[in-house]
Amino acid sequence: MIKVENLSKVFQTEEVETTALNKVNLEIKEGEFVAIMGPSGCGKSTLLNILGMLDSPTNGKYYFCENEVSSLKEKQRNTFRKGNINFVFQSFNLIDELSVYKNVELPLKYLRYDLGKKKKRVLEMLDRMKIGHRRNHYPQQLSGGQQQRVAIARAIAPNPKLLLADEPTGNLDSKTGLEVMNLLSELNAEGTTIVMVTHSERDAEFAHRVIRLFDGEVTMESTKKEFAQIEY
Amino acid sequence: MNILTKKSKWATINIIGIAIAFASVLFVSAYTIKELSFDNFHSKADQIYRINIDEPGRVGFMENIDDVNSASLHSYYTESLLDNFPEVKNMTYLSHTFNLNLKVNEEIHSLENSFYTDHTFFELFDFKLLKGNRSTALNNPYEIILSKTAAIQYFGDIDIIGKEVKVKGEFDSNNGQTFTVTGIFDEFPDNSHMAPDVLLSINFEESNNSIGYPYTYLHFENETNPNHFIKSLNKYWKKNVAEGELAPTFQLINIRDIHLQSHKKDELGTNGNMNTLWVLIFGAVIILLIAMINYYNLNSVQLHSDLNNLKIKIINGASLINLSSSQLKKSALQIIASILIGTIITLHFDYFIDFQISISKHIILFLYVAIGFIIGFGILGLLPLITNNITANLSQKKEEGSKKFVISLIGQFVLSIAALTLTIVIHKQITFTKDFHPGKNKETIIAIKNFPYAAIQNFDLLKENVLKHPEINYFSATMMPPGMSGEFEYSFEMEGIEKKTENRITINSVDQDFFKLFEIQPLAGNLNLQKGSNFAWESSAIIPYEEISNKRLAELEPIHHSFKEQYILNETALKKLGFKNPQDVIGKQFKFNFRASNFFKRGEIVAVIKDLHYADMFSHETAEVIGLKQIFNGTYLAKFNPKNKAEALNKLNEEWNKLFPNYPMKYDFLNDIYAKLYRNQYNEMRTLTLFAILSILLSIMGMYALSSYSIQHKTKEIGIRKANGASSIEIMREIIGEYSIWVALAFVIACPIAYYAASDWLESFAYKINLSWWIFALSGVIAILIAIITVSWQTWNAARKDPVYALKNE
Ligand SMILES: Nc1ncnc2c1ncn2[C@@H]1O[C@H](COP(=O)(O)OP(=O)(O)O)[C@@H](O)[C@H]1O
Ligand SMILES: [Mg+2]
Repeated sequence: MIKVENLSKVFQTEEVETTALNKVNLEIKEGEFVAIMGPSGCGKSTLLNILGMLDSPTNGKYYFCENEVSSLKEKQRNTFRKGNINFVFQSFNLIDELSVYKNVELPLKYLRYDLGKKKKRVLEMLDRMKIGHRRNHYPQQLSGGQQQRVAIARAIAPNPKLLLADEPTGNLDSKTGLEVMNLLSELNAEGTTIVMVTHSERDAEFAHRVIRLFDGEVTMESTKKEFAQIEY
Repeated sequence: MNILTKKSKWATINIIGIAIAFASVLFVSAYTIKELSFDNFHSKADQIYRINIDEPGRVGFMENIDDVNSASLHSYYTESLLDNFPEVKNMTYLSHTFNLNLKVNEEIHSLENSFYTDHTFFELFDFKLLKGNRSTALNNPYEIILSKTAAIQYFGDIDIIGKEVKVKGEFDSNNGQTFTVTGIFDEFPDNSHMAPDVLLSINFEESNNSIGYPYTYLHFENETNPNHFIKSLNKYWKKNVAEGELAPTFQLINIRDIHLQSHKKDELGTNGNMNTLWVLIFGAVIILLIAMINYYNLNSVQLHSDLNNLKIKIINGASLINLSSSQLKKSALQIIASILIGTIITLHFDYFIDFQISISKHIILFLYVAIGFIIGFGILGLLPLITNNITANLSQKKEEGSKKFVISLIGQFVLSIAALTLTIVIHKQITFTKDFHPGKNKETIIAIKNFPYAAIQNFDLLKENVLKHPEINYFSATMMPPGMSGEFEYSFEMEGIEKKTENRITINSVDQDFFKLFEIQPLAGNLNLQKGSNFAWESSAIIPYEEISNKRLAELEPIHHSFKEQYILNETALKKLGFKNPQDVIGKQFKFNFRASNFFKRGEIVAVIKDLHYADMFSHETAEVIGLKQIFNGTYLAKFNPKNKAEALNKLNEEWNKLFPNYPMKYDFLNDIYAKLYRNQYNEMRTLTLFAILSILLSIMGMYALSSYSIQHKTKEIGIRKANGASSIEIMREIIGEYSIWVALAFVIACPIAYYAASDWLESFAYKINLSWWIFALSGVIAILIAIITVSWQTWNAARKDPVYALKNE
């Protein structure tokens, strides 16, 4: 599903030049659950953003479902992204002015779901995330765990092929974090490909495979088995 | 660096906004004060009233004159006021001199702005004399006082007390009367409703002159209620009116109210207009409100975006007083800068309305307005800080103020759209006036008026001489100057209409080429008119004593070929006479029952024309029957070849001066004459255009600032939306749609306001444009377009960015 070749990202700010990614190669198959780990500032988010086509690489190739997408314009990237890829962020990124219901509805609106179908899907997602009773609340009125459940509901509402999660448990206590991780593996079991950035070894255990980054370079890839062996 | 430019951008918006408001407020207050201050410089202004008259028909040389509502009235009505009404303390009059010539050192000057009066003039009014003694200047008959300008024009000097001049009437056969110069007065102040050049005293008992129809001013005793006086005066005349006549009614108007409230046909000058004043005040208030809203909004917005810094300051010990004083300093700088810029702007407003601000004259007002602005806008700048109560409420959330902004944004646009719509309406009405009146290429047609009697006598000769020049295409004449309609109504006899003396119709007169000059086609009949009667015949026929008249006409018979009387009806007359089809009256016999029975012969109705609209648009066309009578033609018209306009004018002047060397030709171009009729409306149009543009400009600036603030705070939201599949276009559409809805809402609110204001403004016109829906739609579309453009160019940048930047922006 995803194939990346010699992918680099250089940030140019005034006088400093930061190489956030340096010739990264990787491949992710449909249905996989991959965790990306590494110290702060090593380029995890940058990689995730590029995979999600929120950002474009400076160099290298990115094949999404066999299509080369690294050099596409924002408008074309949007077409690929729409309905195929969605995100879960550490800071939830809900729109404060919109109710829970409206937040979840957002991606469906841009996909031009018709009214009845849209409503059905939103309520389905909210129920699934056990947040249906809060649908008329606003994000600020919810706890962190509830907010992240709304964010996941929103992310999976359009039934994306690829779910990108950037430290989804980073702002949650460990019990709530565990709930979120269970939800993600459930989704993965149903067929959604998931790429997740995390600092937590426990969370990484939910993944099939771990990619370790250091200073913008892939240093190690390990399957769950190997990973388990290395750790213990 | 970014923050710095953003701050200076907002400061610029603030400064420009306040500067425009300051300029408008200063200008409009100065203008309003002037308009309201008319004639209040007289110490007795409170007790001085002018007496006006409504007279239903007046008998005189020209037969019956229909209802007269005038500012001047026959002295007959006021002669005995002082004796019969003890509350009238004193009284003075001002009577127009007609056709007076002043002879100084063999040079003849025609006096136009001159009046007869006497020593009571200076008893009532406080005008200053530069030379001479105000309590004796007009004590005796045959004394003359002149304005400084007139003295310099006629004598080249103002040290002329005691000099003697000859004053001679146009029709006087003698050598004229000697007058002694007894005073020179300074120009009357700008805010005086009268501004004569020359005042003369005469002896009415000795001279055969009648005092005529003077403007009469009464000075009442302090405690008098003028209403009681006018009631008893009206009662008195009701009782004492001559048999079979209707009693006149009188009104009083305080001299301070004349300028703005009196609109008689014979006012002493061009009076002001309450409407214009309201339009100006309306405009300035709109601008001020919009500027205030902007200033408040921008300060709130800045407060919100600065909230984190403020919190840090407060945590580190800053009090509300500290924060306020730094805000005040900032405001003060901005306001003072605005006042400086605003002052410069004000000085250029005279382009739009005929009024000039001068710093030296308006310094006090300037200071008041400046202090008002500093205090007012200073407080306004503090308001967000105080009302948000940030010191007490450190944990409050951002952006809860956005509803407030929306309301004020809508408010601004309501005002701008209303102003814009009214401006379009006024523009349309004024454009309508341009083709309403007769005459193509009005800038090639001139009207000559105020000419000597000799010019009427010699019209045929003048016309013959003038038309020798190929540059002059037509030369013709008519009764009234452009903009005025005939005033004299006569009873008549017409074939097929029952004769009734109370049936009257207005007489107008033209020369046979009049309709050719104006390129008028008849509705029915034929406008190839024959030459009418000539002056020699007319001056004999007009004598009301039949015997003398008949004898003179018989003498003329051999040299004056007989002519046929021709009559032309306008459409209104046709309807008034009860006909529908213009063809039906052609060939019918018609005759005016003029006092001199020879003057109007029985003649044929030769043509019916569409209403000419020669008179102004404020009243409906009068029903007119047009004859050809040279002696009535007080206005001459010439149409030039547009290619040689200047040359034509020269030639005409030459011919004129050959015949009437002592009387320079006085003329105006037709386009100017008609434009002058709507002087007030033009002024209103220009000022309102200015204010509409300014208010839109301010609204744009306000919307720009608000949307840039709100979009800046929306970058994160934009990122989230994009991560969820929104395209740039969709984001644009959402944000612009939101602003457009507000503007559309403003439009809906503005429509009835604009409709009401426009109908009210159009009220004074008898002929008006339709308030068609597209006028409203146009201003709505303009407003929405402006909103879209303003918001778009910021939104586009935000919407186009890679969403990753947006998501990081927090
Ligand atoms: N927009 C940007 N401009 C400049 N440097 C950036 C930008 N985004 C990320 N970086 C830099 O790129 C590197 C990788 O960042 P990031 O991918 O966010 O790290 P991680 O998510 O692994 O903590 C960091 O050194 C960061 O400072
Ligand atoms: Mg990161």
